[in-house]
Amino acid sequence: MVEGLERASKYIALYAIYESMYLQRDDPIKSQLEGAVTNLYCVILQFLTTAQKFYSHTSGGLVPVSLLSKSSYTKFTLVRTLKNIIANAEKELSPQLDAMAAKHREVQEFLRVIDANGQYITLPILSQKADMH
Amino acid sequence: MAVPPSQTQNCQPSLWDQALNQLPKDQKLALNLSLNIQRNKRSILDSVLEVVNEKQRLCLEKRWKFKNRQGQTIIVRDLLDKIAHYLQKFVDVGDVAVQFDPIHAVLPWAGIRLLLKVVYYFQSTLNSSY
Repeated sequence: MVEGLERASKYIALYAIYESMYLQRDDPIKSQLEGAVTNLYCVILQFLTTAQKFYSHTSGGLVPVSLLSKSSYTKFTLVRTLKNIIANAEKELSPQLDAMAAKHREVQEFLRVIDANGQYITLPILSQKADMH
Repeated sequence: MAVPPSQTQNCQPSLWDQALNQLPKDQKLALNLSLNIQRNKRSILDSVLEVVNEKQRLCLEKRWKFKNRQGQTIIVRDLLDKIAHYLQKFVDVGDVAVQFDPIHAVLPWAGIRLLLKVVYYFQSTLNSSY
């Protein structure tokens, strides 16, 4: 899941740059671009909600076991439970990660069109963008 | 009386708020309740960086790594380094571009902060059990 968090962080920061570069000006496809970005944000929020549902609800009940138990059997059960939670979470989260990548590609298509039309972009923001890649 | 364009733009909800409104009601409620970001929005970014730095230190001490779905070995600290870098870039955008207010986008960062804390619990429990 840390990989998913890393990807989500990257998109949040990258799209802050895109918002200031592309969405502050009037463009014929601005509303479509806004729609595509909003869809990506929606998938990111859904990813965070799903991850939180899987990890937070279960960890609350498991903390006392890990702290109190000394027996190897209980530890074995705990590890098995944690591994199951991780496996289930990954199964549930991987389609959302794929959806995140797909929505990102959709937005990239819009940005290519805007770039081709020759948008003017301020230099400090461009250097931030270059640093992200 | 006509409203100046700058004012109408400020009244529009941010894209993050629009995305939040598109979520099903239960997910929206879960996000709002668990993240509790109604107050001190500005301090959330500092607090995310604090959590990331703390976990980076722990990962450096414990040298955590795992294998991903593709079988590649991933070093957790490297991922945390990247998250810290992205967060810094995000803050920088708010400084460079006056039109972009980073406060609108604290919601996902609050989610990432919460999950980082949970990930640490999972990783430490799994590692200490062996």
